Amino acid sequence: MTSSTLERPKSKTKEPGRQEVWCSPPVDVYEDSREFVVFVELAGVDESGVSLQLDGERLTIEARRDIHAGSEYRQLYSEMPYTNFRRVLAIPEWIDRDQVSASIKNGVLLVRLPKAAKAEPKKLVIKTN
Amino acid sequence: MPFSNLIPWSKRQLPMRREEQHPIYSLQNELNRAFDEFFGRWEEPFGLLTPSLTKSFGGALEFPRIDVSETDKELRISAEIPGLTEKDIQLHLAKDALTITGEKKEEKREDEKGWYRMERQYGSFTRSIPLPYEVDTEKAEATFKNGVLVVTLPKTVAHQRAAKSIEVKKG
Repeated sequence: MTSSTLERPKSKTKEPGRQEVWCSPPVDVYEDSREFVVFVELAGVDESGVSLQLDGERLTIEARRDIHAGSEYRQLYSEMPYTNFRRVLAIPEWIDRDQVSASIKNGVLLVRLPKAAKAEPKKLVIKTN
Repeated sequence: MPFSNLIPWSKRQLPMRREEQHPIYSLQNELNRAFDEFFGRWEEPFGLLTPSLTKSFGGALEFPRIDVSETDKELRISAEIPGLTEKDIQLHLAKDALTITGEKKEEKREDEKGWYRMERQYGSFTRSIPLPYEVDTEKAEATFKNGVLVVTLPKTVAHQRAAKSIEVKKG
């Protein structure tokens, strides 16, 4: 591993004095006849802590959470130290960008990317002479 | 004479092909690459840092992941259980351990055409967390919010009294 991979990504929202640990959260992505659906596990994040950006063919999901015990607590053991989440997904170009929607419930973000009308498959009729 | 020189089929003499170079593997790699073009291209610029963090946690640790902290008066255990509600989680508190049980169910999708990524894990889980000291089980409290469970376990009065600082003397 080179030293450059150990550098922590820079965040625009970084507060001075606060240690930031990043996590690349697990995602599920599936397709049905109308849309692409993306699920992202963001435990401890509510609607105010998540930001989505659709830029070209890239969907950037960034989230922050504040779930850790206050400073009066001494940490004994930690498996979930991260405060920030970030994931970038390439998305197909034939989606209806104006209709993309997102909601978050119980720490799971759901993003719906409806397919553009022109992407609907057309049935070709083969005529016989 | 080294032993390997005596065996005619040793790797030294046989031109071995690395697995990845085998035609079937290069086909597989081609397919994986094609797959990654969609929903996978442009993995994060910090890909080496962040996935390795999740991988090392996800691979080595039990579900759910936990944090444990304390004050002089109480023990606090939190757990990441995204996608569940408070009704889906059972807690059992014994004298020496807290056990979290539940089931993470996959929603049924009628009309699905295909999956691009399936990184989330589903199924039933149980995890027992040993308690470092006795707690007042009667006063234990638990809350669940945004996929995070927080259990607060007050220390027994006897344990609080027993706690003491030890002076380190020069030897």
